[in-house]
Amino acid sequence: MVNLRVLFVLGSGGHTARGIILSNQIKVEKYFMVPWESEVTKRKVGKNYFSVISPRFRAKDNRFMTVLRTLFLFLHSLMILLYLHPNIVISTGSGLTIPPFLVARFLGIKTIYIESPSRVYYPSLAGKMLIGKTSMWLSSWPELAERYEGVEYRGMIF
Amino acid sequence: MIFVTVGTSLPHDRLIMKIDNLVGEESIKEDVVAQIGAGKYIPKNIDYIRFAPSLEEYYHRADIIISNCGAGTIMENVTKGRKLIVIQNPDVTGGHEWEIVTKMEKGGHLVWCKNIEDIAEAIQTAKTKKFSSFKPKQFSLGEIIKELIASK
Repeated sequence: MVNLRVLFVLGSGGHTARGIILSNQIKVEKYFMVPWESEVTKRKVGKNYFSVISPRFRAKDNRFMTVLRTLFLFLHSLMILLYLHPNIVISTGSGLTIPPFLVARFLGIKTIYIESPSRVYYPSLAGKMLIGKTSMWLSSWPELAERYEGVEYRGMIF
Repeated sequence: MIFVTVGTSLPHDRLIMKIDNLVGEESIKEDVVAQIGAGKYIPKNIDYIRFAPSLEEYYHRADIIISNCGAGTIMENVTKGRKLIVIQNPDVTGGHEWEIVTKMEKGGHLVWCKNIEDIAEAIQTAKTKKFSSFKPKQFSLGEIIKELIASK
């Protein structure tokens, strides 16, 4: 496993906390994608991170800026993935997830999406869009896996 | 001690102000420590911190924990059977928090305070309520990766 290269897509708050717990479980070459505005996340990760623009700034943003930021994140994700060429991209479900995951799929890189424990019955918007488009889509609760085709339940990380 | 935490994503000044006022008017007589994040409201009657690398020592010391509806905070505490009161932060995106909160409330793992005005009452409830600890199944990322690499 040591020769594997894994990119973790983080976010803020709980998404980041779970991503870091997961990254500590495995001995591989680890890299992180973090939102540039989250100083806390950068401090927690310390090194090997790529700071990227988030598609949305919570509720304050207008739609045009969100589209622009999303496009930028697609390009930035393409650059990062071409440069890094990881074996696997893992996300704990933050708002950054869709662009790097779709780019990874395009490049034939494996992806693992891990939905937040806060989603018991319904997936998040990002999660829903990615059902069927990842190598693995894991829910934190059996309820969610029962309701959606392509969703697997293996247990929870918190 | 009562520990109040707003988490790292966004501050929740209204909650901090409410608790601070309740302590000021002595409706809450316990010591209170609050983690206020980037909040603009500075409490006058209670101790506070902004952020900490880990809140575990505060959780451990607290008799009652008041938190936002963040899944991480909830899981960290319900798995240890601690006295937890959760209250929604209206500024946090989503509105899906009811899913995990409903599930945990049904199981008797937490007290859900639906209105900030009822927080003193929720504290009273939490004092006498028995909280059962929640034991979720956990997975190993290493095994999942091995499986994925083998699957080609």
